[in-house]
Amino acid sequence: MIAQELLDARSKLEERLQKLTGGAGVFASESDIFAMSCGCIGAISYIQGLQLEDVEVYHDELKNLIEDFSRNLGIFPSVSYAQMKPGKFDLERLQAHDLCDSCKKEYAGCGGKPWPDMILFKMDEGGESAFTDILRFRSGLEELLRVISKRPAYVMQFNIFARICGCVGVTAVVRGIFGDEIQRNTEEIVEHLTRTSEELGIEPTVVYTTFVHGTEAVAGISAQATCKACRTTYEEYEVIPRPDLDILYFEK
Amino acid sequence: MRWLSVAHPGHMEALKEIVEAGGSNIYEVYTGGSPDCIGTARSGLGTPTTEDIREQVDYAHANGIRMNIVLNSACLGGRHLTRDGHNLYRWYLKILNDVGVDAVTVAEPFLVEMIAKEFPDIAITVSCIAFVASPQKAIYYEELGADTIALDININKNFPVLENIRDAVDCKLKLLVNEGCIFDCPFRYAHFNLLSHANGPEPRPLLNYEYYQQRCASMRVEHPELLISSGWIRPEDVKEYEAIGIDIFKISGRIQSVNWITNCVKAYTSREYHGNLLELLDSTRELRRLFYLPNDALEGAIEKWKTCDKNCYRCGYCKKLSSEILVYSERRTPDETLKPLSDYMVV
Repeated sequence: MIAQELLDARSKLEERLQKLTGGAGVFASESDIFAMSCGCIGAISYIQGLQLEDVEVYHDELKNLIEDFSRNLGIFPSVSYAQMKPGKFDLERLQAHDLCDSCKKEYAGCGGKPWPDMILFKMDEGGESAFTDILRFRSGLEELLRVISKRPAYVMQFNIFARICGCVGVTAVVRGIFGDEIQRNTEEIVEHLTRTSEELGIEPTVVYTTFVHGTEAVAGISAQATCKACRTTYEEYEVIPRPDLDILYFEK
Repeated sequence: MRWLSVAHPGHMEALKEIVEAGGSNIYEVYTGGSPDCIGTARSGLGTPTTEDIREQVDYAHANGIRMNIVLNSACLGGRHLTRDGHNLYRWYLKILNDVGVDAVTVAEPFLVEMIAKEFPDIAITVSCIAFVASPQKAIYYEELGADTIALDININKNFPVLENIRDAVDCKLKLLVNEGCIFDCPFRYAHFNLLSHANGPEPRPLLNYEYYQQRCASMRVEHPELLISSGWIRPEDVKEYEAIGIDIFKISGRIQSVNWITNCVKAYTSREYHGNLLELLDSTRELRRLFYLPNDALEGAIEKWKTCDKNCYRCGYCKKLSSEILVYSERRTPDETLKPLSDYMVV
């Protein structure tokens, strides 16, 4: 199942990265497969411990590493790159996209430097991605939220994530839906996300929404199979609730 | 006649493409300076060195284009009123002056006056985030030393005020044409203040939460008419503003891709665009994959806006126009479609 493959791929990428750079302090804190609202799909690994000069030195190796990672998960990238932290010399993430037609135009040209904080590894026609179901998962949730809210609620991005701690899950970045609407339809949302997660090989132990800080506007909806340590954290939220997080389901 | 002020992400490759797209229409390009000195109210993606800036100034000048460095932090945290801070600004402005920068954009009145006095060779643009929205405020800034004033975007569709400001001052007036921010946005001051700290000198806040961007996007999904009442100016309507004496038209988008910027430049230089207007607007990046606002459907609306009294609560004109908005559904799946907004909500 894709979730286990993603967990394994994150570990493998981290191991290759550490061997490559000789850096024990280099790690991949999280790896994701994502679908954007525009139609792009892709793979990301958030990296800690590398800087711009490392990206320049290991340019070809990092390209191979993120593209292998992406292809092994069924995403055949038309673009791959290293994204630096804005205005800094630290690497934030390695990323590979199977671009939608609209984003193809944005990434093209400019000597391979569409943004100054991006180091483009390659851009070409890519291939036929095998794992396109994620687009269906994104739009399926979006349509459900639109029915619930009676407005064009928006799932900007739908991610399957695997974290260094062992947590794995799905998360949707959403706009235009509010806490009371989620509350009135909790059962339906939990059921939808659980079914989606199970299709991906994830058995969620917690389902929750996060809010735009200090408001009732929902910023994200997630379903997660927690690692042991993170489970404790969510248990603590039941005792001391987090104001920006509403737990919809928690497996006892 | 050069009339466009164009966003520049900051690297040489981008500058070349922008110059090629806009040619003799471009009056200036503008880009962020060093966040370690003054900072700006937008995220800075690049880290241009002094030599990078010098090289780009030379290239711009060779093409008859001015270089404007944006130092428009909305809050300097009081540093400008300390000796060390003043000396830091003086040191940095001397570097910009030495490499041939033509102008700087600032939002802090102190900097307007200080630069006018200490660096007479550098032209001063007052940033749109100084929120100049009246003749009197424009006069104040002109007296402090402004050569150009970028007016508050909230008056972009308020022709009587624009005409009065034109009458009141002799300096150049600039309007931002493609910002998609909410009209009279309640978050505007606070958001720019936050961004100024986040993109200014250390210490920068280590934020756990985004609030303004997420809240504003949620409001626009809830009330899509806010996309219409925003202060943008369609490429076709630029002539209406030229007719009342606006000198320069600014294309926003320093954090967008180079092809996105050149696409905007081409739309505004050709004075026409037939597509999703949101594709031209900065600040609606995340919403242009949700909504399709056909620019052609807005033809003629400028006549209404020229006499609009800005009482949206009782007017309803922009809300009525929002029925033209289409909504993307099931992108890149076999069922992909564009649906009328009325399929999802009462318009």
